[in-house]
Amino acid sequence: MSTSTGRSRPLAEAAPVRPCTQGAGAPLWTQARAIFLKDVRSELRNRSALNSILLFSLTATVVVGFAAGAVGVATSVKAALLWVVLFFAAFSGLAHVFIHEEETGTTTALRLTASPGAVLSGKLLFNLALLGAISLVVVPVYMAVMDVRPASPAGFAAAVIAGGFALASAATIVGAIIAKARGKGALYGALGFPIILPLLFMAVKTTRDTLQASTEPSVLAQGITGLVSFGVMIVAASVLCFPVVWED
Amino acid sequence: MNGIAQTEAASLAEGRVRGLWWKGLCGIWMAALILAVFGWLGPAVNAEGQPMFTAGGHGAKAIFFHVPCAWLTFIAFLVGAFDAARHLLRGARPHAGLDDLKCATAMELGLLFAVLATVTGSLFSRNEWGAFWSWDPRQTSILVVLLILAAYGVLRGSVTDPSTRARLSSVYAVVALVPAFFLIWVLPRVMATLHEGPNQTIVGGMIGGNYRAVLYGLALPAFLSLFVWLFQIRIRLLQLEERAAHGS
Repeated sequence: MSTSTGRSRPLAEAAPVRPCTQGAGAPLWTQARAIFLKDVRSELRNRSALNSILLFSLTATVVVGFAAGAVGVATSVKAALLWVVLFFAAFSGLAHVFIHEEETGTTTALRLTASPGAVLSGKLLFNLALLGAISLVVVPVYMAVMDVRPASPAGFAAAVIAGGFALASAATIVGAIIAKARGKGALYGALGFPIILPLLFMAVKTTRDTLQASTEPSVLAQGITGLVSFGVMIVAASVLCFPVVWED
Repeated sequence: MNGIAQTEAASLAEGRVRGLWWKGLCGIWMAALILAVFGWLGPAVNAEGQPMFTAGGHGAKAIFFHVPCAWLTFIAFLVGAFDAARHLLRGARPHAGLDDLKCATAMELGLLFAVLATVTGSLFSRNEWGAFWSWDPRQTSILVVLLILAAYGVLRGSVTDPSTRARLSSVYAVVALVPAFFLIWVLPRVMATLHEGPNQTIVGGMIGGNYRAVLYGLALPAFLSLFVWLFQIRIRLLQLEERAAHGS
């Protein structure tokens, strides 16, 4: 290939892949839903990610329960250990949506057919669903193993849901960032932890409050609002940054 | 970039080093600071003349080195996040400007000063309160900022392609600013901390004997000029490396 000046352009410098800004004319929600359903179908077809994350979380719960449960730990420790298990569950498996695309070579096709906003929405929805499904199994098992009896069950459920939402959002954007890096596994947790830390503080504190009978509802409500707002902040940051991460 | 490169080449060829005049100032500030702290300043005494902190009041002098290191960490992080945002806003082209190099330099220096701040802080804490580490909120937040900066460095190291590396690390710097901001400004004020006492005494001017004057008048300019000097040297080094790598 030569240009008019007679220099030949190497193939690698030929037209870089630009993200599709119009998304084949389909509205955002349609594209996002299509991507979400594609990921769900692909996951259900070959449940590797779901199985491995589930197994990892259950193993972590058992380890934690074995190490700490027999001794009889305080409620604050139980709250903290629950979020340790959830953090490692999220930051071991939620990058799968992006890494899988890189490994199967379908990233370029996705870049061409969907707008970045739709890709982020679809992947975020998938990660929310995945973490939700895992929490539905892991949290009751944890409660059984560690003998957790929340004084405010609705508050406990709200805290886990709100914290899980923020956790999945952060895991999604960090997963998008590391999908192109080498050494993905270890890097994922290392990158994610500092971003997640304020969330972990709040989640542990709020969960502890729900476990103790002495907390007032206003304090609980404040904690859960804090968790939801952190999640919203992270989603907002993701929406701003994802197009840059996604483009080639 | 070309204009800067030419100036750089010219000044290096002539043997002139840019910015010489304020390097001398840095040396003067630092020398003045050391002399003032160890030679001129008396022990830390409160309003009644009783010595505060250990070693008959002399233990408080660690603040003249610990606090500026903490300040510099946060300043470096802000400079890095600002340059990362600029890099992204300018279209994320790595050779369009120095923004990505500046971000990398600022984060590196921030890591250095974060390590220094953490170490000096824990030495002071050992002297003062008997333990190296007590999960005090401000201590924890400097540690997490350290982790964020280290994770930034690891991310940079793990991506080989320069434009992808610049893009991903800029996004991470901007995204990590949100929790860093929360950790630095919100968390220590919301939670009770060991730092509260010393904070009030110094900032509130409750230590007699010119402590506040020396801190703001000598330590702050000394460390700021040190930071700017290190920043300039490192930027120049990175520029030369880039030029050598691209053979221009």
